[in-house]
Amino acid sequence: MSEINIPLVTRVEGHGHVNIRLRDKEIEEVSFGMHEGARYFEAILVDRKWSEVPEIAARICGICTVIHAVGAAKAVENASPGFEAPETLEKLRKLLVYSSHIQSHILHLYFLAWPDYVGKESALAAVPEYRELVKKAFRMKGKANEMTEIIGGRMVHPCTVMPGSLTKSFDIDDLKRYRKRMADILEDLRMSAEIFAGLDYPETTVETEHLALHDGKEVPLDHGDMKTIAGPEFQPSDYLKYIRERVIPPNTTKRSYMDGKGFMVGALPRLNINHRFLREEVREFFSGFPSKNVHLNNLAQALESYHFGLEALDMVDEMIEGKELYSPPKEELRFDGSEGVSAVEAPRGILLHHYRIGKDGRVEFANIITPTAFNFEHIELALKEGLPQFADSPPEKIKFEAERIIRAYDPCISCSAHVVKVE
Amino acid sequence: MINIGIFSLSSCSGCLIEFLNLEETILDLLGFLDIKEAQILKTGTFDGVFDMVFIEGSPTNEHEVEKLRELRERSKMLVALGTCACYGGVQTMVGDVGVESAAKTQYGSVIPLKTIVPEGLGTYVDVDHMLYGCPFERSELLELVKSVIMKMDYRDREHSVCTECILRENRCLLDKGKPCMGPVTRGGCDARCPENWMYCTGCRGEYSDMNVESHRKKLREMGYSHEDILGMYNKYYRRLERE
Ligand code: SF4
Ligand code: SF4
Repeated sequence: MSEINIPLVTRVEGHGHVNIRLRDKEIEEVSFGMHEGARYFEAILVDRKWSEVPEIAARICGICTVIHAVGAAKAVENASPGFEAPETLEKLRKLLVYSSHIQSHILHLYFLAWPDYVGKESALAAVPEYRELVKKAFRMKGKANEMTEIIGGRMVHPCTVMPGSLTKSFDIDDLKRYRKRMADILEDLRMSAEIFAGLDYPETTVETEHLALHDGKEVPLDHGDMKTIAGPEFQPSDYLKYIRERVIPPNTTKRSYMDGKGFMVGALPRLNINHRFLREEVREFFSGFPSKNVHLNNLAQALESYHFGLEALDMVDEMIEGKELYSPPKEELRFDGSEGVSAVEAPRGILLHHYRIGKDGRVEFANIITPTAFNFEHIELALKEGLPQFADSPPEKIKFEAERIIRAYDPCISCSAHVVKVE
Repeated sequence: MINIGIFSLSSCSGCLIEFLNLEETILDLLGFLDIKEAQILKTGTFDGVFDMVFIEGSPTNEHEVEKLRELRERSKMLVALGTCACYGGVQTMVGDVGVESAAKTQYGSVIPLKTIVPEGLGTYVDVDHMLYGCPFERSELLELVKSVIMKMDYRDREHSVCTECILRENRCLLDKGKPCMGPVTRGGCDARCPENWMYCTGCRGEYSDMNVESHRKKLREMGYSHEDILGMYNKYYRRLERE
């Protein structure tokens, strides 16, 4: 018997490890663990004021910070009786989410995943051969970040997102500045879709379900019901009825299950469920949805980035044409002890925020389930599915393929507030 | 060439992301800096001596403390990247709840890996430079890197966010009834939040000349309770003890 260990998975966000046991050139056991330090957000949020929730929740993760802030704001709004978000606020937040997703996808696609496909240790090491492409990747990410800053006030951890409002006014000039940047990178986003549609992906197909938001109109990121490819569609507030969390010894790692099985969330599930709503220009690059080959999550992210770019441009054009202005409301949210749940799509998949807020405006209860916590069980399933074909190969190759599978999910391990391993 | 390493303890990774947000400037810096190890960016590890390590996050368990000590030993210069590394960061709020009870809230009956209440890196090792903010400001990172390349001094800013607001002729948010931390928070962010009509929540922490007493008095006059004020001060790290 021999063992292969990856003590620290590289080119992913956060700290994860893999342990593979081989016997007679067969893979006997694979386990994936996360050893991120615990930061206890759900406990920290209790007793904090409603207005602090997005600010604190954003610090769960620096990559998907925008969607944490927006998801938290929406959950708090849902706990405020009678509150309905004005349309312009929703649109501005959507623009913010679009730019943030593009930033996150480009970071993952070019800096975390792509080096595997060109045999490099990092995107920076690829610079001598691919200088122009790496520069373009930085440029797309940079412009997307600038758009995030225009609306959010800051690239990492936006400061304008409050439950019920954005803190500042927006005029046509702000919209135009956003528009210009998106227009600047649109061609490069198209090019990315083309590049990632042309890569040669390995095959690692896991047959269990995929879960994403669905509204029958678009690829929704900030609203909608939760839906699987074949199975039920349900309201986010019913998540406890469908999703079970379980602890499997010897780890005290919480894993998520539907119908007793691990499931996948992320760009691939989003498009498997919503590919009909992809823009025409995007669909021409790939017509193979639904697919359960986890490596295609990379492709799905590249397609989505172009799609979100096109959608954002149309929306911002409409707002400019309709002279849509925004100024923050005077009145503040009220609370009466109600609960609020929100389900949004983080770049890596469904993200749930759930709060109860007391009459005094302070949080009484908080539950947050992040996409990587949802995906945790599925990643292990994919390793079990994808590695046996390489069992004969040298350990370096097995390690490489294991990391490549994990990277396909674009895991965000800091996010997994829920997931900790006992030593 | 200056050998550097970029590492992460318990954190949100936002400061790593902010580092990468230097975008193409990173390509220019590669003429001077050799990135030997950075888990998020490249495969492989490095066993030699670093001229400079950047560490984000704060230790939340003994393993991380060990890792920090080990990094200190083989680095000529250690930079605390962001407020977590400087002072502990938002995860220090767990101190109010107590680690044990937080673990129960979060994980139910099963208590995970023994956790410690997070504190800044300086509690455990010598820190050469601090880049404040949650996340830190890229302009200050560049200033520091340039000063190291050119062998010049790097100095912390010792003025408040308030000062930066005044320079920008912003209307004072405290005067508008908002719980702004600007007067007791270190500048250097160009009053980022007030610029966006959001009161400063103190993410860059304290500076040398601040007047906590008069700020607290002002907040009390505005109607904020003792509890409210503790909550505001003890968000990015523990600045006020309960009396
Ligand atoms: S200082 Fe803020 S941005 Fe940086 S790692 Fe800590 S929580 Fe994240
Ligand atoms: S204004 Fe205050 S909270 Fe905002 S970035 Fe500056 S120091 Fe941080």
